[in-house]
Amino acid sequence: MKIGELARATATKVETVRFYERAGLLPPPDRTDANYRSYGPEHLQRLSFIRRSRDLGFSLDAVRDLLALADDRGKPCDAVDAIASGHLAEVERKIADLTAMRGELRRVIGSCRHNTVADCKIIETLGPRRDA
Amino acid sequence: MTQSGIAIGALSRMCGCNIETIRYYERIALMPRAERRGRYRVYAEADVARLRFIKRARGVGFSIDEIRTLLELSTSDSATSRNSCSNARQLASTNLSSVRSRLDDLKRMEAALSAAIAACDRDAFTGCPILDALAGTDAAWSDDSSRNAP
Repeated sequence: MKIGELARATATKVETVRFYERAGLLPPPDRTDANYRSYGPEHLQRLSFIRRSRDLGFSLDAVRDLLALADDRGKPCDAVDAIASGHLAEVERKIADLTAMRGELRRVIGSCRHNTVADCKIIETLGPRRDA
Repeated sequence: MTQSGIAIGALSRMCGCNIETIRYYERIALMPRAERRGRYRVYAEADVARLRFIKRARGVGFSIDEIRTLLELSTSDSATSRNSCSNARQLASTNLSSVRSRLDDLKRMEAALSAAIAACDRDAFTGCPILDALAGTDAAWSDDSSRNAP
């Protein structure tokens, strides 16, 4: 499988596939006689895993840890649970932050009276600056 | 410091902004170059107001470039200010949409992660549902659209 095919199959940019290889997440593939990268099913499987993890917001380091754990399936899965739970807590914290942000922005936009900047509620809400 | 003037440490505390970040804002010209007294930066009240503005705008998710625009709007003259007001509103609306879509993404992640973690059963070790989910080998999971996976 050529890099373009692998990229399409996993909805990944070719550049990103190369990046994962440089970052050590994806093992280097065999090369064709013309020195093109030639991928096997194990690459497809591994890249799919990486993409799913990234879609769920895991950091590259977390993905690296998860891959290492996935490579050693006989081990207890406590470590996987810990990584996922830690990440879930982080996601929930971001949700709380963004929800607060959304409320603030709604309030700011709701207070806009379409006048001039001198009494622009959006700029006023963000901070005093008249003396700037 | 004998004369009036705010040191970077005081500015940092007043605005809840790291000293390193204040220096960075100066490097990228988001904050004006501070006056130097000897080798120390000295700030005025206007800098406090400006930095608070930046800090608040960052807090609601505006990018550095957007803040630059907002700051320009807020100091523009009255001839163009009606126009500037609608520009500010436009920026805030765009920002609200991006906050909404980031929230949607995160909620999708939250649901998927919660489902995988809930499925993790350490007593009867028949494989790891979290790893299965990531590998796409779990039937309940392979469909990305399933929002309420068990």
